[in-house]
Amino acid sequence: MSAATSRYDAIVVGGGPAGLAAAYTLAKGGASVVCLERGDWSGSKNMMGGLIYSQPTGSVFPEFWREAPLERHVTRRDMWLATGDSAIKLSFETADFAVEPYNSFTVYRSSFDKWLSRQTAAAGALMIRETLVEDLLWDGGRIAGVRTGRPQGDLEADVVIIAEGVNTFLTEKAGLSPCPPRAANVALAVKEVLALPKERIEDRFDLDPGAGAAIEIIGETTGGLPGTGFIYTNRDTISVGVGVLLDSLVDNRAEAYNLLERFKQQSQVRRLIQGAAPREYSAHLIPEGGYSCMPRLYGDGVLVAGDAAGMVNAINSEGANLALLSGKMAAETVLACRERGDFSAAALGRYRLLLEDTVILKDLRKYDNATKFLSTHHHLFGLYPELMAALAREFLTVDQLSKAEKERLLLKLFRSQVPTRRLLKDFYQAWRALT
Amino acid sequence: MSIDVRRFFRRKPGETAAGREDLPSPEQLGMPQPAPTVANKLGLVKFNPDTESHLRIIDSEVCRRRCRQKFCTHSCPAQVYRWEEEEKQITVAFEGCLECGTCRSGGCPYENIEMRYPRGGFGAQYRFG
Repeated sequence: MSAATSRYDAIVVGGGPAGLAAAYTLAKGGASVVCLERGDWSGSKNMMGGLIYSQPTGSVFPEFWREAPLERHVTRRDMWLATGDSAIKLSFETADFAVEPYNSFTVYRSSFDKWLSRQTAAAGALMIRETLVEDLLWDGGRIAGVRTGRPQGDLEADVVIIAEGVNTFLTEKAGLSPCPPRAANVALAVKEVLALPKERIEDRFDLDPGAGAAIEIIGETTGGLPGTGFIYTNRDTISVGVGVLLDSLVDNRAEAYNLLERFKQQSQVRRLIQGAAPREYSAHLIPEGGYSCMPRLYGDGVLVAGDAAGMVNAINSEGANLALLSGKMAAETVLACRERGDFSAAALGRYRLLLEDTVILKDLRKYDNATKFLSTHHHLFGLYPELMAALAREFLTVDQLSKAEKERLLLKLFRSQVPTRRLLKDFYQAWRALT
Repeated sequence: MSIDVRRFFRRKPGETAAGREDLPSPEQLGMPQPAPTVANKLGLVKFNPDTESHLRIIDSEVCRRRCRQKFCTHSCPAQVYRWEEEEKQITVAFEGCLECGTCRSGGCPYENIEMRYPRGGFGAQYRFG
């Protein structure tokens, strides 16, 4: 980077899924675009406790699964309700997810994002790595460029697409963020990657060669705090992690790494990861505030995409797919505005209209109350799994008690733990929050 | 049959933990308290530390006088923050920061930590991620 006033059609801040989808789409559309990444390479600062979905990813990077560095295609999704010593396991498995175009993949973000950035560079975008954007450049009320940490590192453009991720330094500076990430609307996820030979992973998780499992666990995993544990199979490693809403973590002074350790020691988890050697530890925030915590998505000369825009569906653990789609929509908006030479907020507002038609805003609106509901209903994560396990344990234990006596006992137990009115209220509110 | 249901502290909507010094202890809440394992975990991460810290305690008087709980020493997943009883201050081991942003997002309920990202090319570098 040499000239002090390099000028582009668009500057994309952040080389993650949102930024790369935007830069790739812009470059393919013939715009001059620069994408700035603070890490040594795209993905070097990233981690996920989720999956890469074929359809949305393929809608930006066609048939990526033929070449991209993927770990396993996921054929099985499990949900466990766990207590200290028991677990109720729901499992869905289908051969449909084992054939092209597959449905989802486990990946290492460090290599997957890097591959996406190579495609983006090959499409004609200028990728600049190891470069932190420190500030925005203004021209009156319009955002006119960015100031990077490099000497003479000012860049100008018609439009800046902010895809900076969950820590919304620039979105806040742009005055677009009504509620910057605070403990009530972010979750902290910590994860470990544990190495185990590929055949043993396939044996333990009961998988065909190359196929993968994704397990989500609620209950004792997070010490009853609102959050989930997760286990994903990679080719020859297993990703194990927990994610907890930050405010309850802070209030209870629980340490995320200690919750992770306890999760790993839980018997059902321990069996799966036994003998697996730790390879990496990572931590990341997830914006889980939902629809009502999203920033304004556009302004004069600026658009916001991905995690920076709060585009995470916490209920279904989706984020990267929404980031990719929003980046693509942002780029399409810029391409349309470019034809008319108008990058005012009014013209860029088209972005919001495009998003209205996608799963992004539809799903986020649908689940707007869900995070709030879950964070105020801690007992869903601790008490209900315990009660469900007690129910299963009692009915599967054959002893001298008649079934009618067992029913009475369980009813008494339920009533002592949850007043009937509370139970009905919980079900009603859960139904309201999720439908 | 008995069920051990822990009673968690729950705040009212809009309330923050700041100023709440009457919280039950983590032990009373049943939080796990194993030996620290963070140093081992961080040993697995590749770091390229900058010479200057990207993290700053804004006012150490707040840590000393107002924050009895030393929230950041619990909330940071990389245990960057430690309370030094003798010096009566929080030390900041920024070299091992995973750049998650917890400390700027409520990990310090007093909003007493200023976090920036390290300069381009510095900081944590995930090989898996």
